[in-house]
Amino acid sequence: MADALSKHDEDMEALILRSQTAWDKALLSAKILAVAGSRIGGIHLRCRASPVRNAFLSHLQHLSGMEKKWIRINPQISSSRLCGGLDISATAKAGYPVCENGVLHQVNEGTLVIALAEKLEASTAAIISRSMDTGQCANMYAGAGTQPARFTVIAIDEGLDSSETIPPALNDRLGLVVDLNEVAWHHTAIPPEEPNITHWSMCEDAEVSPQTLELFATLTGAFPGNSMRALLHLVTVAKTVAALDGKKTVEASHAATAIALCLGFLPQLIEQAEENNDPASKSSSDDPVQDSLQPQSEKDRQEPDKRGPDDEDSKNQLDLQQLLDMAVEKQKASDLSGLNMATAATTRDSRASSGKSGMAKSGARRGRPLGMVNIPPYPDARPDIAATIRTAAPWQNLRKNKAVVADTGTTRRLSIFTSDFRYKRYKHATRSAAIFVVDASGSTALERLGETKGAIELLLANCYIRRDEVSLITFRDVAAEITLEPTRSLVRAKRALSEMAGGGPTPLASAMKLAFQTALNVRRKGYTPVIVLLTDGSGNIDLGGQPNRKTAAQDTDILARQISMAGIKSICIDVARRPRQAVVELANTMGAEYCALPNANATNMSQLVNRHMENSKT
Amino acid sequence: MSKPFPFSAIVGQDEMKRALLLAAVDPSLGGVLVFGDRGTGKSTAVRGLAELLPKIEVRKGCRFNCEPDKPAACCPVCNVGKGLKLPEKTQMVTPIVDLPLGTTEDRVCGALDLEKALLSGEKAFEPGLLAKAHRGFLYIDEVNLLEDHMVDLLLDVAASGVNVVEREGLSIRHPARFVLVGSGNPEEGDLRPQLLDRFGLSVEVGSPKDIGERVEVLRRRDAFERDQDAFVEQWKKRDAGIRSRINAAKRLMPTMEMPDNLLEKISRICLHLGIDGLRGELTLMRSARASAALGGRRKITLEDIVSVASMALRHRLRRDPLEEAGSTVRIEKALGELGHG
Repeated sequence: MADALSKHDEDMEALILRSQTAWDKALLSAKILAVAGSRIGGIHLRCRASPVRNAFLSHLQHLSGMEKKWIRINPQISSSRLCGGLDISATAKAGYPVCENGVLHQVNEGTLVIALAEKLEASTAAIISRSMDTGQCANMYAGAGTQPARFTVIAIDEGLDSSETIPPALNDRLGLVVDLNEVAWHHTAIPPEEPNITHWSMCEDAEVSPQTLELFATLTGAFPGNSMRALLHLVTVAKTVAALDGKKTVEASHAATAIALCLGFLPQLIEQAEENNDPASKSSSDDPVQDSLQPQSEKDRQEPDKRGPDDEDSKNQLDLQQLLDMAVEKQKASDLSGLNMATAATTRDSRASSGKSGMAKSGARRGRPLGMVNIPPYPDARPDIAATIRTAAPWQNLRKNKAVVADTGTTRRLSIFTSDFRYKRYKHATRSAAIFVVDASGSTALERLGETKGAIELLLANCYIRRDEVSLITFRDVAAEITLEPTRSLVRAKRALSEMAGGGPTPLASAMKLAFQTALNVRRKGYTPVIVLLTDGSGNIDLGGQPNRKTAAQDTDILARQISMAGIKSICIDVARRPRQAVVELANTMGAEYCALPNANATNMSQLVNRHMENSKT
Repeated sequence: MSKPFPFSAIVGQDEMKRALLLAAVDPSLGGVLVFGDRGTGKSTAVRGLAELLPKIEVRKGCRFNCEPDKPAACCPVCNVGKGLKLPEKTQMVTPIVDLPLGTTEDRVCGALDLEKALLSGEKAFEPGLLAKAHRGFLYIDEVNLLEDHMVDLLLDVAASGVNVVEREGLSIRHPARFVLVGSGNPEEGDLRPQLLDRFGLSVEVGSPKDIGERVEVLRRRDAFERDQDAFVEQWKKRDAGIRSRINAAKRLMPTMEMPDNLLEKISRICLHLGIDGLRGELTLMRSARASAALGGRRKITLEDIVSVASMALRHRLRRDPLEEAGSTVRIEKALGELGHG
């Protein structure tokens, strides 16, 4: 009992420490942003709505200067609002073109806060990124030209997990990552204001040793997509940390802090073990933030004399290996909380999906004209002039008197009200998404997986034309997993498919559940899902992950019914040597087409699925 | 206003820089597609290129970038009534026009001039980005994310060099010949095959793997950010060198000699790789010619062809999804089999 209690206390201690560390890190990031500004792009803030987040944001705003612009946008913002364009209502009123300034220009020299940034569409992100790169923004109205737009970005990411995050183009340009999800409310004390705010010119000249540069270069190179921007950000942050610390050169501790802030993992310098036992060094620190982040780095500061240049070199080498290991681990865990790298690219589609669902609602921009509507079918839609005038025409006699009153004396040739605007609506062929659910258990798994891979690649090769997507769910051992998120990219599919494992028991129920969820997700995006289930028998693992044939069968049955009820089209391919009754029954319950393909090969499988995807569109 | 990063100061990425220079020498090549990782200097190179290009001659106030001797029929500035004087000619920097992703159709191909329509009831045409890019470059970042209706628009113009506007009672056609430069990250989605085919050259870029190179990138970037003017001044000479090379190559172009046996070689390479259509052969020939001209030679050699084969043909190979080897490897293999590798 006592043991359990102390264990609990230990956990609590750890949580409190983590919360405090995360908050200190956030405060330091805020300080750095205030100093370095647009040089490090901004902050990728991972946090859901909470008082902690509000406290942090108001602190940021305070640091950036209350007189500076602070504009908050939502992800649905249209490109004409971002870049500025013709103000239609003002233009119609004035009788000459009135151009409105875009948000990006309005926020010049200030801070752009993007709420719900995980819902941002790639194209919107591209517009923002371009302004971040060039410091300019091209107004959509040709007469206005380009306007200065230099700003820092705070992207608030409320994504639940790693599959939901901000667009990679934006992610790559934001130097700092702050995660407030672990911060407890009582830790959010704002430190007293410091009178002498460090200026960037003091940081600029901080010296970075060639070894440190090399270390940074190697470290950022270890991430997929090894972006050069991450490297630039790392150096900028390290310099700022050194300057904030009052030093002229970037020391190992500063470098470590920079890595923690930019890449999201805390490097452990090698002296850590001895250092933690030395309470004196901890209390002697004058900077609490540095301390809590880098207790282990004290030694570097206290004993710089003992360390020869050779020693320094060897330490860096050791560090590097360790850091690289950590980087690899980080990727394996696919924990994106701090990864400011292109790893995010692998999850782009699932993220873009959230944006796309909006698009499905707002209608297609091309295709067969469907007729006129009085609300814009998508943001930025241009009114159809002929239809608008036609709508307004019958009312002209009635409106004549009003027009004279409103418009100081002069009569207008036409008086058009907002309610007269008409927009063209289009219908575009719907797209479908094939969700392959593949049994990766047992001995025939490898062969079957190979053929399925082939089928997926063949489908992807010609699905561009139809805007179709393909996804893959494999199941083995205790649970099913999404091997390939719904995608249209052959490049991505190849990468995901190259690392699949086979063997183990059959968690069919778990696979069905995942397939059902995925199907509902893609349907929400505006696609028509088609589930393709490849199996050779019944499951022997239930939803809870326990090996129990009876409950497994019950779970499978319930899910099959749900799929059938939801009206999701499905195909059940029996790949057993001899067709089995269980698969036929499952197909019946699911309302799926049953198909025995004992020698399923890539070509005929892709043809079968292709036919169904075509049919599902009608 | 901040200056663009000098083209010559970009570390590495030789293939990309070379492809852009080739396209600058011969605009009829059909543009460059740059595909690869983020943060590899794709946009930087294109923006830097603007500084290197020779100036073009236009009439003052012309919004269609008309050639002074061959004006577009719809240009009100270059076509004046009888007895009236034409505006004078001026030199203008070669336009590099950015096509932003979220842009509208009106902005790209031009639309009814609202100011004139509202003020004087006059039906006038407001030229769009395509007119602005005439005789220059049209740059599309994240070209693979471009909306379908925009791709539809571009496909036709890029092929024909004429922008046809039929909307809102307007019926206008004006020349729009530009070098299409696109960049993107293939992980985020593929490019539509039809648009892919419109690009003459295609290069793949990656971040430098070499630590020394990465550190050098950092150093130059840092120097640039500290003092832009000094940095640009420092690289001015090299940029000027490249500029004079482009100019010299452009002058050489009309007199280039292509030996018959090399033409045959080009056909053989394309046949061996199973490339459909003549566009591949044509591009390979033109890029080899531009490559020789860039080298200051009047005569094209086999080395020219081999050096540009990958970028001219990479995106034209029939895509076999079950083939593991990348396109570059396949081209190199084919060249090797033909004894030119």
